[in-house]
Amino acid sequence: MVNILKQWFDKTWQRWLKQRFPGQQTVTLDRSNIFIFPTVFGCCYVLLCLLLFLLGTNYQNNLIVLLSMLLISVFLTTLLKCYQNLAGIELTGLERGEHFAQQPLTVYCQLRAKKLRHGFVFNYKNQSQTLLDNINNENKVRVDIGPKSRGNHDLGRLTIASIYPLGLFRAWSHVDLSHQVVVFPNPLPHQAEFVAIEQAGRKDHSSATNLPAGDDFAGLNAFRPGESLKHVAWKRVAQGRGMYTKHFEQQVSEPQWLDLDQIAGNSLEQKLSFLCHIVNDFSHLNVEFGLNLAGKKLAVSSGNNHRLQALTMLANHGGGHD
Amino acid sequence: MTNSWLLGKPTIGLMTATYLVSLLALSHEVLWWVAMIGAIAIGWRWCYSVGKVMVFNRYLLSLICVAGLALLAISVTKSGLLITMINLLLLGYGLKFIELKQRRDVFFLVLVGILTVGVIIILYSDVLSAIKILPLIGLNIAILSVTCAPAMTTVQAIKQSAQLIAISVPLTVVLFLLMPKLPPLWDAAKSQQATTGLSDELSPGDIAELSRSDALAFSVTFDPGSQLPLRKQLYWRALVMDVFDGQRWRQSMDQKLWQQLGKQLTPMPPLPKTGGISYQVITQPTQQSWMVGLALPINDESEILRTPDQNIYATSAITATKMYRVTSYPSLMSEVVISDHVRQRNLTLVNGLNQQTKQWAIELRRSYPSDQAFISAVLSYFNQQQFYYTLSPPLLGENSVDDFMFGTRRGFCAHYASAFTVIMRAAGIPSRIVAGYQGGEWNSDVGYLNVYQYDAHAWSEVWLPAKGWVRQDPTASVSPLRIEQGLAQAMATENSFLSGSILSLAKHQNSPWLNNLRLSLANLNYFWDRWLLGYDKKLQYQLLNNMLGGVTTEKVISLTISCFVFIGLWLMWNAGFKIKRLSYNEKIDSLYLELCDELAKVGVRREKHVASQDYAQIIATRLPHAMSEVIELTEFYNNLNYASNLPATKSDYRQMKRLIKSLLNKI
Repeated sequence: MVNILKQWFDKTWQRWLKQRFPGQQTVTLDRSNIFIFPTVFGCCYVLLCLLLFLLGTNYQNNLIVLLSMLLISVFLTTLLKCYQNLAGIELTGLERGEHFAQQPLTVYCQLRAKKLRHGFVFNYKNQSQTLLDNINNENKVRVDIGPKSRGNHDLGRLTIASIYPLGLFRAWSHVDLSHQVVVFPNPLPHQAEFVAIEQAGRKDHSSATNLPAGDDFAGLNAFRPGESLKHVAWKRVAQGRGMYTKHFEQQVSEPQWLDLDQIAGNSLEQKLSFLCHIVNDFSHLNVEFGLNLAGKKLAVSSGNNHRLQALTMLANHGGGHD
Repeated sequence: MTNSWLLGKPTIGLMTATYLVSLLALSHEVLWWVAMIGAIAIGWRWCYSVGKVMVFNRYLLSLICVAGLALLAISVTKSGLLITMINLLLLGYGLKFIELKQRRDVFFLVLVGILTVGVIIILYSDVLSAIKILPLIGLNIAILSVTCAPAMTTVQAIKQSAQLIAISVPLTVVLFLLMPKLPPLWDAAKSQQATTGLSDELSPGDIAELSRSDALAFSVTFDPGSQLPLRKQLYWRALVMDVFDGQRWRQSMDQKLWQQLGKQLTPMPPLPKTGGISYQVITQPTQQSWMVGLALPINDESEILRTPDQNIYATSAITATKMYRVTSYPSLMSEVVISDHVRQRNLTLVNGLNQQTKQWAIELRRSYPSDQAFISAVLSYFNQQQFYYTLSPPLLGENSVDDFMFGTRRGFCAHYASAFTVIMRAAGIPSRIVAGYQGGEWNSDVGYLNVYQYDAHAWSEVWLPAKGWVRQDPTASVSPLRIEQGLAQAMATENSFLSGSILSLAKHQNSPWLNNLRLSLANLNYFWDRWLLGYDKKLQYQLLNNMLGGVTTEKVISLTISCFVFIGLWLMWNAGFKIKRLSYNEKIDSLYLELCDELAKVGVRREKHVASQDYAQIIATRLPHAMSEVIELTEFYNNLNYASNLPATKSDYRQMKRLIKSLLNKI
């Protein structure tokens, strides 16, 4: 019951935020999007002021009353200072960095302020916090996010908060920087890949690369648990000569086509992971390649842009995350 | 969250400084071992911050806590509850240095620090202490600064905290001045603090003790209309003591009962039309209820009562500097009636003690049957025999008055008053001892009288038919200087004045510049007490009355609102809120856009993408008669925006306005 209520509240809150502060690439903090409230310490401080005031009144000691008034005045001054520390800061989400599934994400945000600002904490919802001591003219802040699954992600709202100058108030803002990240599959090295790379790297005579799971029979290997039963050499099993699997190879000559269907793997995710690793390595070695993901094709090419295109295709295959 | 904020030397440095200054301010109260535990905790914190020692053992810490609490519990009986509570606070404050694991621990430390400041103020509220207190508040705030902005250096943090305090001063002042002054919310009389000044029992040693202190007892300002009494008339009555046990004088049970139970109003005598002396007394905290006034003090405030023995008495103990108004009518003393009961009490002597004095008095009385003659004879006896005025008299035995009269013959006011009163009683004249202060130091520049603890004095009052209670001061017969010029002059030869305090400025009244310094400090203290510590409901009303010319609700409300508006603006301005002022370029732009709107009404619309040059042509074709104006205006406008590097000025703005006007006139 509580959970449902909490969810409902969270949903309403997010909807309200979205309505009021729609996502923008660059957000400037001002009085329309800054929240400010006393911290727990601030409340304790006010209680102490009240206590001192009572003490001073009761003992008719004007100096203590004066002390409590001074402390309350400092409290109010702090309210304005705390707000001013946040107001006028420009945040821009930076599109940079490559993110892989099951690895922590790192996103960057550009901050701009005309005057020196102090003591900030950044975090995405339910994520770890990043501390930033100062914003001096222009700063870049790195915010870490826990691992996310493969696909397209909207990072949601970044919370920027500060309790400067005295920790009595916390000013904060939930900004939506329209931060979209593409999380590529987690690259996993594939056994057969090394052979392929070795051959591609040598680039001698016909320079054919053998990729596993082709059409040409390559030989028999002892059966290992986990291998597809389709490839077991049942004849030999029947003859009582042990359990072997037939291995096929596909001879690929340059340029190479990386085909999802031809990669051995337990699951789609694993296959994509293998491909991701291969794409990275090929690009590293400047090998030209094309990509075929169940009909969706990426023309043969090379270079970093091509690599990113290939990785994005892998990320979005089958709808990706959302 | 990382803990990097804690490792910062500035934080630990500021915290240490704050703790040490607090300790220093409370150096009279702090127990030595509490200070030592604090020092150990701070030492450990420093070593830990540079990585020289390990985490503090939890069991050891608990052990220290328990041991500290036990020691404090033991010392309650010896040092009193208040001192113990202060030490408990300081112990916790010190030990907190070990327990600094999270940021909120630092915040907690600061709250304790601020509470300590409050404690310091309760104990010390004079100007010099206040000078120490302000930096202490600043240091506490600087700790917060450096905690919330870890990149700050110590100096920056201190600067920032000073700035925050400075910005907050106007609001503080307004709050302080305008906040309604509330009466005490509950009875604060049960203070555990040691009392200062006179107490309700008097043995000769008490006044000698007081005469060693140069602390201010109270200040007096006489009203302009009142005649300033002569110095030798300044007998500030505080307590009447009419019960003598042979050693000590004390207040009667009647008086004690009146204080504890009755407190019923003493009937107000009919006040004479003239002869009243009006003045204001600003008394330092005494933790007691008696108040001082010249002979027969009248006060009509509800929290001040008139006692049956012609004194004034506060309904609750004076725990802070307090100001009150009194009018004294010396002539009223003669109209006091004495009941048989009181007469009897004021004639009582303990049987079997001081027989020799009684005998002597009875014999002398035979030669002087008239009361007045008898009194004169006794006074001249003190004057002519070898009696000495000294602050260090020899000790007296069980028959203290006999020993004094016929043995030592050395003593000060309490000895003479005691002996005189006993002689009067033996001779059948009702008499009693009055304890209070005599004289004071007149400051003619500002116009106030400062009475110090060393002005404490005791004298006698005798009851004479038709004259009522008449003051008799035997000390004046022995040492007229004491009464006419004060203790410092009376003790000039003996060198015993303020012998306890070498550094006391009051001791060096003969050195001109030291004396000037002392008097300036006294002036400062007077203003401090009068306007800050003594700021109460009456002063508040007086201030508002002077400022507003009559206090009405509307005036006070509008004053309050305007003060807060002003302070709001001041705070906003200081916090960096700026009113955005349009530049002349922007103003000219908006003029141009207004013109476009005007022209659109005539039918010449300007689409957003159309440049001003092209728009000018459109206008020129549609409104040919205004062509020259349009061209001139557009040229001027484009010149300002694109050709000139300089920002537009006021004259440009005016020119633009003129051009637009002439164009619109044409249409």
